[in-house]
Amino acid sequence: MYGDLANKLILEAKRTQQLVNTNASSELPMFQEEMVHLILKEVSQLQRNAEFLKLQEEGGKVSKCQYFVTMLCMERNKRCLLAYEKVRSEVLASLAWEHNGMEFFSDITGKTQDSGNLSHYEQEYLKEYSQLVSDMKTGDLIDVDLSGSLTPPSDVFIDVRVLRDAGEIQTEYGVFNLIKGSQFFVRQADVERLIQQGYLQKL
Amino acid sequence: MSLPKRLENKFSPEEIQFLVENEPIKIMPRITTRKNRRQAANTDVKPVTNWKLITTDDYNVNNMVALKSTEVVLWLALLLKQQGKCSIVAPAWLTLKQLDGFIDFEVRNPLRFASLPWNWLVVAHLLFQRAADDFRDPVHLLRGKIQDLREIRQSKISKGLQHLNESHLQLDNLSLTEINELRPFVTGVMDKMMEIHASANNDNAEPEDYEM
Repeated sequence: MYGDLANKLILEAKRTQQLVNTNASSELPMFQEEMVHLILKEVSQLQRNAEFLKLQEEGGKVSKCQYFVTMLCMERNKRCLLAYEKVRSEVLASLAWEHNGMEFFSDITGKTQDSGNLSHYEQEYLKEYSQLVSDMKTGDLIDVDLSGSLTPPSDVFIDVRVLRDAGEIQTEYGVFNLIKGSQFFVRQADVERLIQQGYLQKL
Repeated sequence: MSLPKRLENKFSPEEIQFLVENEPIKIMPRITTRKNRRQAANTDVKPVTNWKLITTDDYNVNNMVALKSTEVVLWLALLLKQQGKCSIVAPAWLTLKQLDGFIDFEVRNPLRFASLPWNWLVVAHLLFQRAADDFRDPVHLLRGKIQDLREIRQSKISKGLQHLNESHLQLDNLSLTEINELRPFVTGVMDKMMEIHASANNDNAEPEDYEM
């Protein structure tokens, strides 16, 4: 039946959504290239059918019905494809907000190691979306770190422990010598970025 | 998206705490920030720091006298408390007697909630945690009372959920935390009920509906 393949794709999209919701690790599963390809093939076949039906205009009621059902099948495939792509694009957008924005927006390629899992267009989209995000941050609202933490600040000073050796890291407010296992008492605003990147652990 | 899924339709507990921290509370300062006249006359001798707060009224902060109670916002009070520069005066409802009254009310009125302040849970939690030495009544008893209140109200809430319908719900005197816990469930269910109701109504009464 037409539309069965699209159903499989939707199941895949659901799985993606669940995966992202549960473990919050920002790893996107592989783009289902061949399935999408097959669906597209089905659509073009449907289109050929539709054109053929259009040619024999005089068919009357029966061909009208055939034409309508063909259109519905195409509609269904379109919806499924769009839903799948939308789920993935949402994950990509949240990736762009959460990770690429932090401090080094230069290394877009370094941050998403699974760029092999993205289709070519998605990679392009991610790159441009990150560009948009950083444009917005350098625009009128430059004083506010828009991609910063969304939990409201509660303590001004916090204890942090260094989890990973990072050598000397320069933050905007000074130099830290981050040796693994050492502990600091610092202003939270200074180290928020490093906590998000996983170098420090808040105590 | 820019806003993570978990924050899309409700507040996180931290955000509620943040909102509550903007409420005023009474404190007993242990420092004096009011300038006396002599100081005020020759300010060039000793530059006195004047606070300028952008989120709140800064008159009280610049006008503190040690051991004279004044009112500041909660976040500032907690900050000063942390440094030992003030003691927080517990709000009037946070005493054993008052809480007993509330519990009594809750028990006697199974259909209503006692009129606790909208932020009672958060304020109680914050003060127990950070200003436990400022209470006149022993803190462990207060904690027990708060817990009792919470449980009584929770059981009432879950009873009240039987009456979910597609049009309205009355939740007098429910605190922000309690509402926020309920929000995803209740709004989800009510949305679905509304959907079903509307679609069922539209089938038989379509012309009337569209006259509006």
